[in-house]
Amino acid sequence: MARILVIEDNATNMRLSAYLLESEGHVVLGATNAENGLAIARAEQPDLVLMDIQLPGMDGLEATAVLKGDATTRTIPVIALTALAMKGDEERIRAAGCDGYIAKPLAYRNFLAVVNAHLHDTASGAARTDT
Amino acid sequence: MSQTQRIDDGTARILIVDDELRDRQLMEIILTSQGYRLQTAGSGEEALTMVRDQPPDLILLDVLMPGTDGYQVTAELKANAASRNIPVILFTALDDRDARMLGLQSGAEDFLSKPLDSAELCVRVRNLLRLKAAYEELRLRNAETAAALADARAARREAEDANAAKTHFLRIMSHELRTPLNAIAGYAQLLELGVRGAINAEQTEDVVRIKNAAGYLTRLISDVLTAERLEVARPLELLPFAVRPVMAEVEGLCALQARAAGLTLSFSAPTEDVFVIADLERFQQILLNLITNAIKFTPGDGHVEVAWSADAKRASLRVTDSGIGIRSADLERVFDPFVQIDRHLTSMAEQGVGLGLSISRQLARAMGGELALQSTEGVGSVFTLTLPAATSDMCRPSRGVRSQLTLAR
Repeated sequence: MARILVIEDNATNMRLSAYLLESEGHVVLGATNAENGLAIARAEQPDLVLMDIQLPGMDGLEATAVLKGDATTRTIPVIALTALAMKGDEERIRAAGCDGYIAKPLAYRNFLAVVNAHLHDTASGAARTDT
Repeated sequence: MSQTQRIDDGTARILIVDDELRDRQLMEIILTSQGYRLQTAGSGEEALTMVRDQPPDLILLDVLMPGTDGYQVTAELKANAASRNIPVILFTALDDRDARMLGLQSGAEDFLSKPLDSAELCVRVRNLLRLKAAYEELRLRNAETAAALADARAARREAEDANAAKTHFLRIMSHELRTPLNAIAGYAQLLELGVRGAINAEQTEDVVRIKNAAGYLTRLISDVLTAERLEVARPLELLPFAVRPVMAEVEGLCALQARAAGLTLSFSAPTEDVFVIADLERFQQILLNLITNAIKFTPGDGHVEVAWSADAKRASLRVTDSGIGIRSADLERVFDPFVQIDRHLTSMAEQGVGLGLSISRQLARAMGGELALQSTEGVGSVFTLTLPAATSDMCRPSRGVRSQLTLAR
């Protein structure tokens, strides 16, 4: 199964994402801020990143831009998992480079479907061979 | 000059400037008889000081004076913003074109020749005073208009600031509420999934209650944001479907609430089923809102009846209750956002934010229908939802009723 990096500053919500992903057999890496998340993404090359947007320090939009601007992490799909769910938020988040968008509170079926869809895209895209 | 005109101009103050006492006295006599208040100065310098200290309404100014002459006094008065608008009439014994030109070029409003013609003096003074009064009136109105415009701009800016503050507040509230809601709803789903091990039937019911409450709160946030046009509403999916199966599901969802309130909830299906063209989920949302409202505002032992019918074009669905009713003055107000008539009659647990009917009517209209209300205070209310009717052959047989409902408020 896939290795997924969850960048989320709220420990309770981080654990929730981890349980849901682990129940599907995925391996979860965690970071509670964007700076650590970027370091882990470069070092560990996860198959997918779940990105909270409002984070202390660097926010999820900037972090996504960094990931998408770096040749070593550019192909990793980034899915925003965020409580920003007002008019214009999704457009803004996608414009910043996020490949997917999930609004909180999450519905687990939708959550897993979006995650699987992006994992599948990556695996079949032949851009990466380590999945 | 008539009595009325004298009263009109009577309070004006006129400054007479002449180095010759005899001429000053003559003008004083003439103008005093017209009711003006007079001041006199014997030189240009004295005149300028007096104008600075207490500006008059008009100045009668001799041209030929020792020291500062009338042209210079005029030029100085006209160069100063405080005295620029005081009309000046120049006097001189010289009666030639050059002298008149010099006087007018220095800025004087009018010109008179000595020896004075008293009738001409009075008419010219009166006319210039009227012009000045009209000018001042205009200036006052302009100032008032400018002030009103500035007020309107300030009020608008204030309203925009308040609106921006409200949007900012709602943005933060939405984010801050969704974060713990993610945990509440998420962990409830986790338990339901059995990730933590199997749970028994009663525990499952508890988990469903938690999920429903979280769902209610999420919808509430969404409704408030939609009402404030801060959330994009999901586009309508208008499809034909049969009403009866939807009603069966709605009945299942509301029966418990009606029973708990001690009410009779009945559904009167017509013999021939009715088909509508609507967004199924929104249709259910409106019905649930109307029925739960009816239950809320109907005392025990009362009844709530749901009935529907159709003609070739329109289907109409009626929710009738034997509740407290609504005063005729409030009939339209109940559809305004955030309005709650009789809020005090509902328990805290039942209270929403007053958006249900507002959203229901918006949805009904967006689907090409209408939501109307008839009510008699103390007797009950009838809410009528009309929608475009469909026929059975328009409905795909494979299309079942999606079960996406959670118990609404």
